[in-house]
Amino acid sequence: MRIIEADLNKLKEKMSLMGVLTENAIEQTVKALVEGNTKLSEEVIIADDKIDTLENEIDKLATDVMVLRQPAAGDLRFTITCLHTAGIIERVADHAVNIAKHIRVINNEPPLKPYVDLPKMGLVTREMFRDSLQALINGDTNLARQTIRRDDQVDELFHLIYDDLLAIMQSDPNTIKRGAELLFVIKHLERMADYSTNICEMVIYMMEGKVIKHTQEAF
Amino acid sequence: MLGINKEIKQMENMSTESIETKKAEDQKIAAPKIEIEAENLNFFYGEKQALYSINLKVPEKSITAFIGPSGCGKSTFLRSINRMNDIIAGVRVEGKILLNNQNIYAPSIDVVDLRRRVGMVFQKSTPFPKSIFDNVAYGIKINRLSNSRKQLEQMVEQALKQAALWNEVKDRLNESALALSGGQQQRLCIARTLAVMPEVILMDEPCSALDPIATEKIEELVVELREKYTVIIVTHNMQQASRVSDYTAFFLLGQLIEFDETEKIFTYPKEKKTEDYITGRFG
Repeated sequence: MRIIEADLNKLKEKMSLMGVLTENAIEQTVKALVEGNTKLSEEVIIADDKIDTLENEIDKLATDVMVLRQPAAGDLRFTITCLHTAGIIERVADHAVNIAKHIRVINNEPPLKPYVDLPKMGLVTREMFRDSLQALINGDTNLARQTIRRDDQVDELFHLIYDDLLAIMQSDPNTIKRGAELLFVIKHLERMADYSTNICEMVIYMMEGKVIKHTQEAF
Repeated sequence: MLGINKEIKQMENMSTESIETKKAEDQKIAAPKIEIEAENLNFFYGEKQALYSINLKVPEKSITAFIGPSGCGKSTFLRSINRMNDIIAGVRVEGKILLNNQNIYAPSIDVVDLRRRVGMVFQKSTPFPKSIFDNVAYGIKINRLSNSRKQLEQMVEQALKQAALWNEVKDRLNESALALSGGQQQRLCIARTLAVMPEVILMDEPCSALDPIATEKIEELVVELREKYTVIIVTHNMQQASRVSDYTAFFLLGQLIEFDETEKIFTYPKEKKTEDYITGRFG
């Protein structure tokens, strides 16, 4: 086995773990919101430290691989992808934490109406993130491209919920505080979905050597 | 700071379409002139074929690295470019190598002059058992490139400066070249090559016998030489190839597998065999 193989496998393991923990954070924060479960939201905030630690570990490992093993071609692109993506995943986790913090305020207010579209948005966002990590770990560019296409679905739900919340707040000023918090929540979910597309763009770079971010490439 | 602001303003004034047009035009302008071209080159050591249908275009004033496992034919091909293989009994060449559109295997070619135009530096430095000055002056004299002693001295100084050796030897030009260190001897050999005004410099693993500091000096020199000469370097050290070269050619079992800009070869090679070699899966 090549010497570098052990390092690359370690990178992959840490990326997987970081991905699983972050997906859990998304799932739990949405669940905490929908159920009004403040305790669960606090657990999301506490668990974020582990994700931050993993980001630092991956940064160090990737840097070590580059200086000590001097990877080329596919190995180089994989290492660079891990370096970039660890930072992206950490930001996704931060958004989950931010939602958890909003839940503290939201749960002190009376509910606006039963959640219908927001859990859907949370589910699609979580699935996109999960699929983007799977695409990364398996080098699956088909899955990456499919996931990027799903971002439109999240954007549609964002606009739907946004319009709905605006209408509610306009009709009753007493709902503004909670409505505003929920606007922040859906914005965090929308950003998480965007980050998932960024991860998929890195997967395409990793496997095909093509840089498609900031381009008009159609899927 | 003012320069940057001016550039930002220019970018803002350009429409997206004109930016794309400019990029395309820049690429056209950047297409390099070809100095050396191999056309269907086949090479034989007696009955044994060592090179198979090599087709390759080396741009002028660039550094091209030849990489590949031992026995792949890269040094054989290198030596074909200045016909050093001619001195080996039983060799045969089919196909062409063009130097500035002139076939070097044409019967009319003066091989001695060819080897002046296409100089070579070997793995083991080969200083003559002469003074430092005479090592460099030798080629100038036998090619009758100088008209006077003064001109000869100027040419020797120029060559030693180009080889980044002048400051180290200017006060002892009459000393034996064999007293120099390994790295200095190699730079002396480069100076000797440069003294006769070549167009192309071939280097066959020039650093493999040198320590890291001496290697770094040779590599820095090679990068400077690119301004005036076309350089081809055979190396087993892939990091060296990626550090110094503009283009890389990967050879395997006598075949040219892939040739491209070095950055592309080392980040996204087109051929799986290239990827396998540069990632250490074989070789």
